[in-house]
Amino acid sequence: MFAEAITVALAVSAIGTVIAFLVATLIKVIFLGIRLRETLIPKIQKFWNRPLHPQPNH
Amino acid sequence: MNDISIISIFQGIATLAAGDTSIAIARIVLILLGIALVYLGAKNILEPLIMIPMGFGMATVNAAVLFLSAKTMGTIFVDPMISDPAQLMNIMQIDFLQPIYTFTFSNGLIACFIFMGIGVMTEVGYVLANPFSSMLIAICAELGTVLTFPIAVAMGLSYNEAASIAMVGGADGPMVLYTSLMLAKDLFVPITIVAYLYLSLTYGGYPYLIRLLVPKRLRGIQMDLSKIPNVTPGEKIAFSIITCTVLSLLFPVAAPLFMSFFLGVTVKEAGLKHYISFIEGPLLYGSTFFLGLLLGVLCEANTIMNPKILILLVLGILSLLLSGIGGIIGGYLMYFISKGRFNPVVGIAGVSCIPTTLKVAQKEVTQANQYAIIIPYAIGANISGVITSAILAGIYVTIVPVLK
Repeated sequence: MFAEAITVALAVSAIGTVIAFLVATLIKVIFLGIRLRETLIPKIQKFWNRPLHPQPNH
Repeated sequence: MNDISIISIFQGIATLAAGDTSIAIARIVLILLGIALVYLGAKNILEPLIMIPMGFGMATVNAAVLFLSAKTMGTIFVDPMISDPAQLMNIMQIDFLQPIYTFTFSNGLIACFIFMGIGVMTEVGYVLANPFSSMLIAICAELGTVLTFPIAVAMGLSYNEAASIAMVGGADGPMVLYTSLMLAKDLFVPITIVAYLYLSLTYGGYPYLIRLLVPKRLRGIQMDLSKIPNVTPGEKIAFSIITCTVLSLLFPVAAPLFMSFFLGVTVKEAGLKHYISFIEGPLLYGSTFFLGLLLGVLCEANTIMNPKILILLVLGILSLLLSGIGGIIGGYLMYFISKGRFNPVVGIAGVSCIPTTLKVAQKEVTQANQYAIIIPYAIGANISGVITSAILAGIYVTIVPVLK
């Protein structure tokens, strides 16, 4: 029973470590996604609102 | 008239004489322990916000045992073992703390209120600074949660009981509460009491562990705070709602805690002044007060004198000790990875006893070097600790019932 308990403990720590680092990646991705959105929106708006036919300089 | 004994008028003393000798001795010891906790809390040696109400509750409840009928003894404070709805309705009209226990403690609501208060006071931008290093520290700080399981099995506990007591190493009261409710309902009360008792003791015990394992030279390392990104309130709100939803999707077991914490963060970042002052004032301090008081009154000798209580006491402290050591090992790992720029004391904050371990870490660092600030990194490790505790609780609750 003790040997099985050690196996369970090892399995729990291995699965836990993998999931924890996946969550850390997720947090990083969410944050980078928000940052990317904040950077992209002004550029998209600038592109969207640009004049279709640039006025010639007088 | 001759049958009337004068001592029967003073039922607290009469029950001491009438009951089992071991229970009588336990009551006296717990009364003295309660008084000691009030003293240590008032002297700021232990966390006073928890210890003063807890010590008061412990001393009083063990003194105030009375005859509830000709053969039964008990108190009119709280009865945690009742689960039958009809009995519960009756007892709620008698035991004055029963409504608070039933409606806030046993379902974890009080812990959620505390998490909400912590969320309002937390600068979540720091969590985003470096999730990988925070998570590395937090997973190391689960050493006790992992190692205590086989030790508990070797000491004669079943898998279910072993997993429940091992969760004390996660240093997260609500998580211990949930695991023992799911896996070892008969030991729910003693395990919860042991967990909260030890979590309160971390304030007094962990400083010695830090001083033992980290030399003063390393405790005083100044960390570079300029690398922490400047995060706008809008970004923090977006981060909070998305992260809360995703984490709840992954770990429903910890969803109430995640929601409470990130709701607190959002309230703060949205600048809702009335909510902020309510949550960080009356709600947080009221919850802390009643948590302490309930823990005290739950330490009634008859309730906690389970034959397994001694084993649980040993395993609980072992689990927290191992987690503290694991956290500091995580701090050292980061110290070596960063080539000496990371303060290893941050590791203790990986033990997710929010905000006690955070306060302990900063206090120890300040004593070594008054200009060193580690709070931003320690908050990251602290919150990652909550996440890793939820992960391990989820794994235990899923795996252990399958083993026979």
